[in-house]
Amino acid sequence: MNDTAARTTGRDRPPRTAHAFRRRLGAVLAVLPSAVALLFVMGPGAGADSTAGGDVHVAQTLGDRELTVILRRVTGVPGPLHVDVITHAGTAAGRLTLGVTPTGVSTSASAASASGTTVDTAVVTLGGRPGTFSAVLDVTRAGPWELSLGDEQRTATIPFVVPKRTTSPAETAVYMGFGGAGALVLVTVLVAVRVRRFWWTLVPAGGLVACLTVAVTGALLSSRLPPPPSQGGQVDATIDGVGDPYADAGQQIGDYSRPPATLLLRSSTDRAGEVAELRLTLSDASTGLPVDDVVVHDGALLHLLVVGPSGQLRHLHPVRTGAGVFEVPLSLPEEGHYAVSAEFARRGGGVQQLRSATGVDAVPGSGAAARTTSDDAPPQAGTGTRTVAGVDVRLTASSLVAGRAAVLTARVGETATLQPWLGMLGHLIVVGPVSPTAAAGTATQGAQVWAHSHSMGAVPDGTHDMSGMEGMSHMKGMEEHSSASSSSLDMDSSASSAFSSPDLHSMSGLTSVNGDSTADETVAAYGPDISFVYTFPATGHYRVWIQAERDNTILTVPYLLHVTGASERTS
Amino acid sequence: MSRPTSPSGRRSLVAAVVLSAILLTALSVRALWAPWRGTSPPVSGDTPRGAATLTGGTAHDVVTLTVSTPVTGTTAVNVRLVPRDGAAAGRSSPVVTVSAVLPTAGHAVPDFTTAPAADNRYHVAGLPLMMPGRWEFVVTVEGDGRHDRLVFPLTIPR
Ligand SMILES: [Cu+2]
Repeated sequence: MNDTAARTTGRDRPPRTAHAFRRRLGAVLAVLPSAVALLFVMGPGAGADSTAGGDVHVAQTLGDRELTVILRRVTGVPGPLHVDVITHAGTAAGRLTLGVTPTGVSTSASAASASGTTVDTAVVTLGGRPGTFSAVLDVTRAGPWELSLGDEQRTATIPFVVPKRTTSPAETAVYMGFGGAGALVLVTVLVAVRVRRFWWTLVPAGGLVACLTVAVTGALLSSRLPPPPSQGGQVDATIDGVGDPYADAGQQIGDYSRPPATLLLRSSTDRAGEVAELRLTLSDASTGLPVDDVVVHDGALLHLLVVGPSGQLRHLHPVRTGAGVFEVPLSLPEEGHYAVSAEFARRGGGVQQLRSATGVDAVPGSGAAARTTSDDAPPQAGTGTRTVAGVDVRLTASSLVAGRAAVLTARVGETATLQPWLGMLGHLIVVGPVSPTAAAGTATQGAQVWAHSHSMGAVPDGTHDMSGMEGMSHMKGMEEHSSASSSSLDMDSSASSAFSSPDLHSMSGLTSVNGDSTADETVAAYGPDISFVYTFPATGHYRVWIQAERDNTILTVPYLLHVTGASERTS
Repeated sequence: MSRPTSPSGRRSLVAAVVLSAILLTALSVRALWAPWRGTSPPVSGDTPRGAATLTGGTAHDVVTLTVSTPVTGTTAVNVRLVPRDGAAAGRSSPVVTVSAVLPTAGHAVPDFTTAPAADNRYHVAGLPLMMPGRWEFVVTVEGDGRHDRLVFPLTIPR
């Protein structure tokens, strides 16, 4: 429009002297480079997209299968949702039925008309060998959704949000300001070379300055304005809220946390030798209402830790079967007490760890499978080598003094072929202090400490000064790590791009470059050393389990550690 | 120095430039100010002025919730069910209850059993909203083969 106006105005213009033309052009050309320079300086800095979601990794213990379900990022709607189901060693072959259901509400009746109805389904046929099995489902709009995942017995539902690419108001101002400035640069040039009196040029030039001011202000503000609350993560997601999170932001309050929850545990059976169907009901500690706002945390909706009578640890991921209801089968191989603890996070922030007040008491069953005593020898106190599933695991510890940070380093196997499980290279579960001779289930039920720590590899991040530590062998670990990762099998494309940088390796094993996707279990390129830093709060014996994934098998390695008091007095 | 030119052409040029500059500036400023403006819920045809209407759905029904006065105080609430399988001829109407929760504060109001009206509409006369915040209106539909629970998040601004 501007150009057209300028052109028609200039059409009936008589010719002018070359001198005046050159002078005006020179003045304009002096302004141009600075404007262009500003464009380049300000442009890239203003592109932070706060609502860009990444892949969602959700571990699901569906029946006797331990699965990792990955919902790949949806890049446009309507469009495909790629779902990968990763199986592990021993996962039974079979069919899973997948479905997607939009769930949100909207002020627009047409936008919400499909809510609650399953709009697409797919079947995933799991093979007998560990691998990735994929399906593609069509999602029709941005907003809250549920993915259902069913075997023959039960159906799990995983809430997720299909994001919409949105632009913050400040970014909009930047784009519009620079867009307007760009157009006005052309107008200014045209006016300058066509009009007789130079001051006419000031009119578009003034507009140009105004546009640049708006753009620069927007660029400066865009990094300072708080992002709107995360739909689904901090506040309840709605179709309208996902569509325009800035309009839905309301007053920025900062604290979106919700009350703690209570855990009710019900077991379908208490007979040893049977498989108990555990039903966990989460209710709000303030209102008693079902807690239906559990968000994915550490790669699962709910992490369940069960310690059996003779010290066997089970780390399960119950599936969501209703509002605040999670279900998982738990085999009770022996009689005695099973202590149960759940970890999860509610919308609005804050991870909770709840120990079931009752646990499960297994009485002698009629089945021949029931054992009254464990075949497993009670673990000897101390670090050392254990062999689990044919893999040698060697644990070393810097020092085990209460109140002092202990560095526990496990070498799992001899090759750098560990796979991240639940987004971490290693898991450390600590329960104690307990009597080393008492039955583990009963002792852990009453233990004061239940802790869950993670390892991101052997190489510490830069925030810790590790110079004084022994037994860490950083350099060796790094070299092995890098060489192995370049030749690792089964890398998926997103992970390989994220892990091709050697700098990244040296910093941390599992940070993605762009925040979009982290390596999944198909990347067997880490370890073999995994380190944990944990400060035991009190003296005594602790039951400790280290978990890591190797050869598509999740290894659980038990230890019994003795933590002493400080040998010297500290001020 | 000046020579005769076309005044009308020049005027239109100036007008166009000034207009576009003003327009761009105004649009940018408007965009920048958007997050600080209060958002008022849209008003739909047959609902009272200022009412908030949200539509959601279950496998059985399209559920529309209308909160008559979405501010702190007591508000009337209307629920409308549109069965997905068409007209519910000869079916007994389900029991519809409405409640509201302010999850961040841990507040809940009692369950209000609605009074059924014609055309699958259900009514609650006075539901108390104690304080502003991001509320959840919980609608449950029970009976007639249904056992549905639907949450409508709604911000009560003041
Ligand atoms: Cu877990």
